[in-house]
Amino acid sequence: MANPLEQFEIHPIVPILVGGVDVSFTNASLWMAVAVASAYGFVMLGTRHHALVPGRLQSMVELAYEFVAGMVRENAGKEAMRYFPWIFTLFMLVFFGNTLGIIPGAFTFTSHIIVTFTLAIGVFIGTTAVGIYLHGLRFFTFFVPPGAPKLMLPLLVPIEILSYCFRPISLSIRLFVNMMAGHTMLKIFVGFAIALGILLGLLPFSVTVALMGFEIVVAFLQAYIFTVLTCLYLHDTIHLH
Amino acid sequence: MAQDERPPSFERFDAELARFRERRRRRAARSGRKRARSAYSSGLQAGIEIFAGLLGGLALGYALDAWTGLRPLFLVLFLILGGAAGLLNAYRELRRMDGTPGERRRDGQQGNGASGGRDGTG
Repeated sequence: MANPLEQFEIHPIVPILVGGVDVSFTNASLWMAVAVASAYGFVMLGTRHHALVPGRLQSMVELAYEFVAGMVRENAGKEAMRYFPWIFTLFMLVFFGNTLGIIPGAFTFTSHIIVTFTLAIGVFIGTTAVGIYLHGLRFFTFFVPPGAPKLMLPLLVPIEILSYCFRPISLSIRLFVNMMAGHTMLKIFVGFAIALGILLGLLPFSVTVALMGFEIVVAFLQAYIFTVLTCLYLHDTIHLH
Repeated sequence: MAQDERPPSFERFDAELARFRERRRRRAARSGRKRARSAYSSGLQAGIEIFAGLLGGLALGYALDAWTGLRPLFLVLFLILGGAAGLLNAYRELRRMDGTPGERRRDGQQGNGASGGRDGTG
């Protein structure tokens, strides 16, 4: 049986070494480029005609726009629409990364914690910068829970600060764990199907089919959760308490 | 009949649409299966939140220990604080999913309007 974790290995396609630092173009970089290109192509091709009555592709783009815009408005408030391009880009990148990863043989870059953690750190720095930009030093009152007794503050403030700083950790772990677990499970069941032969292998194979459908749902759901949490964090920093 | 040749009025269409939506809403409320699956998944999400808190506390404590040389002090301290922070995050997340207003969201807009509010856009 093939190693189910083999699919997560990174192979350099074009080895590049700059000053002793390995910056090779790997399969992960390739699929990131594919995800960016397809997201960009999807939106650009869809809005090419500016039709009043949209065609198929244009209505898909409009659906994506409406979906993310509704999400931002509902979870972060109307003021957060200023940051819509950022949220939309994030959603499209994660969604295309997840979805393209389902294609057999493709590499799922969102199944690597370093990728999701980098995205989450970007969200963390971005929302914090927005908070400081909007509120100045008043932003740091965010870490003082309203209505707490003064005596408890030396304990509560560190906990609040830590819970704020650990958001990118949970945000990245959630996405990476879901993607990695799903893809590992798929590989394991495919391995069973191959090992058991044509007749008995039909059983694990049917499980694979079901899992594949499940993975499509997970790919969308995790992109959605990642973006919704970003919106909620943005809401917190815009409105403070 | 002459009446049937006229196009159906917008009022009738609206009434029919409202009836259809109401029926769908009631059906969705009746099926408890979806709720059970969501309880499982929200439990998992909260678990990840606690795990992240502990992991963050562990890493921070370990790093501070290595830096200051006061070996188990910061590890113990931040493991406890990190666990508390993780629990706080998990608690807030669960409150948010419940639809009950969390501490941080007092301004009257809750997330659970999503199912009904977005009907008209698709």
